This record gives sequence, C-alpha cells and structure tokens, in this order.
Amino acid sequence: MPHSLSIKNLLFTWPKKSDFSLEIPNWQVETGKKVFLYGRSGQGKSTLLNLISGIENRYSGHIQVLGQDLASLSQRQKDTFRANNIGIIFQQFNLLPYLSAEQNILLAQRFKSSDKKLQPENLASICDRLELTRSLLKQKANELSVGQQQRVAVARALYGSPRLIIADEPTSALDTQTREQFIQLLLDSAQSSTVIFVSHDMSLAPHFDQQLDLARLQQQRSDLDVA
Amino acid sequence: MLLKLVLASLWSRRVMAILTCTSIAISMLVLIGVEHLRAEIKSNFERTVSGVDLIVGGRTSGINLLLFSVFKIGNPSNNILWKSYQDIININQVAWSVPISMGDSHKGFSVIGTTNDYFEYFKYADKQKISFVQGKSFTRLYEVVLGADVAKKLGYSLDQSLVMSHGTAKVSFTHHDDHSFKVVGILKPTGTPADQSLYIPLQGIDILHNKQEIQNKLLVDVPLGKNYQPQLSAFFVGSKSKIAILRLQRNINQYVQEPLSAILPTLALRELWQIVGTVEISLMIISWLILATALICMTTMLLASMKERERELAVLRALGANEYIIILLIGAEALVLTLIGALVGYVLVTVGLLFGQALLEQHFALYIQPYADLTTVGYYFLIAASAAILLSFVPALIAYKKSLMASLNY
Repeated sequence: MPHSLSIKNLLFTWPKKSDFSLEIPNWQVETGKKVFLYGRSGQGKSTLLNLISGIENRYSGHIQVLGQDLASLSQRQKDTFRANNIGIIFQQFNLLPYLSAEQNILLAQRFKSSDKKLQPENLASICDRLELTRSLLKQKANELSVGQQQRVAVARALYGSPRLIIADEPTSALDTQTREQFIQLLLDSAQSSTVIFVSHDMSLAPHFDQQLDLARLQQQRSDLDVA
Repeated sequence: MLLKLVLASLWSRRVMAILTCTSIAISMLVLIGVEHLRAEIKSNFERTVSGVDLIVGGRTSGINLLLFSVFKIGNPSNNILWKSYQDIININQVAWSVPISMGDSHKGFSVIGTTNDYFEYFKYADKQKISFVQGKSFTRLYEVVLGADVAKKLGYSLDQSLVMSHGTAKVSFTHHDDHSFKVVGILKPTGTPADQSLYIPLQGIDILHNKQEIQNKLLVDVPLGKNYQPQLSAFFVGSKSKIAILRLQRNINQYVQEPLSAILPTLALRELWQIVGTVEISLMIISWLILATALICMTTMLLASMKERERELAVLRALGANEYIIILLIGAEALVLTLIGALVGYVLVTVGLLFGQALLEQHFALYIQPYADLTTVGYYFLIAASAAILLSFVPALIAYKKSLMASLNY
C-alpha cells in the first residue's frame, strides 16, 4: 500500500458559513513519511484533520485513510477505525485531568476492537523512550507540567503503534528549547508510522521529510501531483 | 473501565456531585419516610378495634364516638342511662356487650370503668384478645388493671396502690383520696390506645362519684343493677349473626327513651381514615415534588458541567469513543448520583426510624417498624433511577451533539 492518505476532489463547506470552504483537489501522503503541513489559523487545518480522522463527515469527494475509504464506513466503524489506527495529539489539553498519566495512556484501549488491544509490556518501552518514570505515570494529569503532559500525549498516541499519527499544533504551548526536543522525540518514536504534523510555525519545518502549505494544497489542480 | 471513568470524572467535580447526592438523599428520605409513616399509621389505626360489631354512645357523630371510645381522644357528649343500656342488651340479637365509663384519670392516663367482659370481648388487630402479662382481672371493688404503657411508664408493679383523680387533665385537684386501688393485673402490649388506660370495675367508678363504700367487697357481692347503676360513656356490642347487625343498629338508633347512636367500627374507621387520607395525599404529592426537584437539580448540574467538559468529550472522541459511549457516560453519571443519593436516603430513614421509634411511641403512642418495606423502597429506587436516566438524556443529547461537532482544535 503506497499511500497512507489519499484525498481526491475533497470539498467541505461550513454549514453556517457558506462563503468559506475547504477544497483539496488531490493530495497523497506516502506510507512512513513525516509531513509538515503549514497553515495559518482559520485556514481549515483542524477541519482537515477532523475529516481525515473521520469525526467530520459532511464532505463530498474521496478520503482514503490507510487504504480504507472513509465514506464506506459507518460512524461507529469510523470511531473504531480511528481507535485502532490513528494516534492524535492536540495543541493542548490532551489528557483527562482527573485520570493518572498511565490511565490516560491506556484510555484508548477501551475503544479499540478486541484484536488490537495490547499487552502492557509495550507501554514500558514507550515510556522509557519518552522518559516517563513510574512515579510520573502515577500522577494525576493535572499535576503534570505542560511539557510532561505533551509527552504523555505522545505516549498515548504511539501506544498500540498506530499507522498514522496526526498532530495539531502540539508544540504551541512549549518554549523553543522543549519544542525542538519534543519534535525530535515524536519523530524518533514514530519511526514506522506516517506522521501528519500541522502547524503555523515554519521554524519546525526542517525536521520533516516533506513540507506543504495548506493554501497551495487547496489551489493546485488535480493534474498536478504533489506527493 | 467506563464506570471507573464515570467515578473519576464525578470525583473531579466532587463538591457538585456531593451536593447533588445530598439533595437526592434528602428527597428520598422524605419520600420513604412519609410513605413508611403513612403505612405504619394506617396499620396502627386499623388494629385498634376488632371483633366489635357496634359501638353505642349518646347521640353524636360516628367519628366522635369512635374517637373517644376507642382512641380515648375527646369526651362523650352525653352519658347513657343504665336503664337504656339494659333495654338495648336485652334485644334478641345481642350476643354480648361491654359497657365502659370514662371521665377519670390517673397521672394523665384515662381510667376506664368496665366489666371483666372487656378482656373477653374487646379485641384488637386480627381479632386478638387482650391478655395479661401479670396477674388477672379485677374481682374486688378497689382493684385496678393497668395497660402495658401505663405500667411501663409509671413503673408500676403488682400489688401497688394508686389514687384516681376526677377529670382527665394530667394535673387534677380533686383526688378521690379515700379510694386507693390495688394493681391486680398488667396487660400485654397491644400497640393500640388500650395500652394507655387503667381499668377498674364499673362499680368502682360509681363509688368514686356517688357512693361511699369503704369495704373492699368482692364484685359478686355488689352486682351491677341493684345498688350500682352507673351512667355509661359507651358500650360495645357483639351481634348474634352478621346479618342482624344492621337491623340491630337501626333498632338502637330508633330507641325512643334516650337518643343513642350505634356505629359500625370498620365504617367509622374508614371514614376517619379518609379525613387523615387528605393529609396523606398532600404529603405524598409534596414528597414526589421534592424528588422531582432533586432530579431536575441533578440535570441542571450535569448541563452546567457540559461546557467545561467539552475538552473531555473531544479527547474521548479523538481516542475513538463513539457517540453512544458519550451518551452512556452521561447516563451512567446520572444513575450513579441517583443511586448513591437514594441509598444514603434509605440509610438515613432507617437510622432516623431507629432513633425516632421511641419518641413516636412516647409522644404519639405510635408503634412503628423501624425498617421501611423493601418492596416499596425498591419501587422508589426504580422510579428515581428511571427518571434520572430519562432526564439525563437532556445533557446527554447535548453532549452527543457536541461530540458530533467535536473539533480537535483544543
């Protein structure tokens, strides 16, 4: 399977703002690639990610994720598909504040189909890589620093080795120093996965295999192949 | 896992959760408490008199007659002449009769003049006889039998001597000082007003008011009807056959020499309960309204929390939780709050009843079971839980809509 993501003739119109729409004629992401997607705020970055992860459904065109046409799945199937295959990291507030770090990481297991549930041994190696100590894992999420919270969020996104990782401005709450470390950590840990990293911060772009501008993605015609 | 999530989430909002639980607990306390008291009062009520076909008194309302003759509340309006009593009990259909004469008291407890037949024919609950724990019935003029409560509260025992007062007030200035009565029997507790009285021979009542019989003669030597013709407050009548009761009642009501009233105790009890029943219904309505208020408060609390939980729902959605799980989560939360609240309410009722039991007995002569009927409680739990689940659909549907539109942009 050459493409982790394939979008053709995607058109999304906000139901309440008819003057603004998101239109992507053609976009493919190769499996295993780490893609940096640049977009200014209000350009539809989050909407695009909602579409890819199967949370937003009101679109026309084709979205294929990991070879699976999203339109052919029911909402429940999409939810399970997301739980099984996609790891998501938000800008901030990734964690349920009242659960411990460890419980947050394991939370997604609840929603996976039974054959995808993992043995806890995998957790240990992920936590080692992300320098999440036992005592830190036992702490409540709201007792952690923002940097620690983001590492826990990465651990959760990576746990279960999802084939696609989507990150939505995960570094915006971090300072420059930690930002660099965080990106490196994410990319190192997610070796075998495809990563789509969305940000308005161009300084992070050099870390990635590919850099794309959402504005250009929307303009290009379907005959231009951008990969 | 889901339950753990619900509990952890609730715990993170524990102040609100505890307050909500408390309001539900209080409403349950009121609901179960009122229903339990109602049922207990009703059963107390129904066991007061049994096996009596007619109660006869001076012309008055049925309820008044029932109240003073059985419940020892209020006073008879007119007394019955001894002759009228004799005329009535000589009617063919009368199988037995028990005369009573009231109007005296001992330390706030009513003194009833009657005959030995009282203990033979006046029954309570399910046609149970009033039996003796100690001693026996009176055989002499100056002898008294104590109701269970009288003996217990005043600490009297057999062979003690008591002085009777005129009138029914607790403090009386006209003591029948010359006449002290010896305790010869103590009755078994019945859980009815019968426990709250002292019983002396009818002749004794007559002596208290009119005669000066000094000697403590045997009752057989001073039979009623000769020298002793006391006025009666009321008398209980047993009929020879059930069919004859109504005819007997009509005969008594039409007795020309003196205006009399004869009532059927079961009918009068029902009539009296209907008056109490209005209060009962309003209490029940209030209890249900309190429960409704508590549940609506819970819904408000859940709704208010929806705003701050947008992120929480977004995280769950991103992790692959479908909308049904979100709805389930909110529903489970409502259910947990309601059941904990209801359980606390039930425990409070039980504790309250255990402590309140003695007080109710002391002040209102109410004998109640401290444990509420579990079927009723279960039924209330079920209603509260169903209502909670139904009401939780309001915040749940909002959460569902939110989760559908959940943006990952947080």
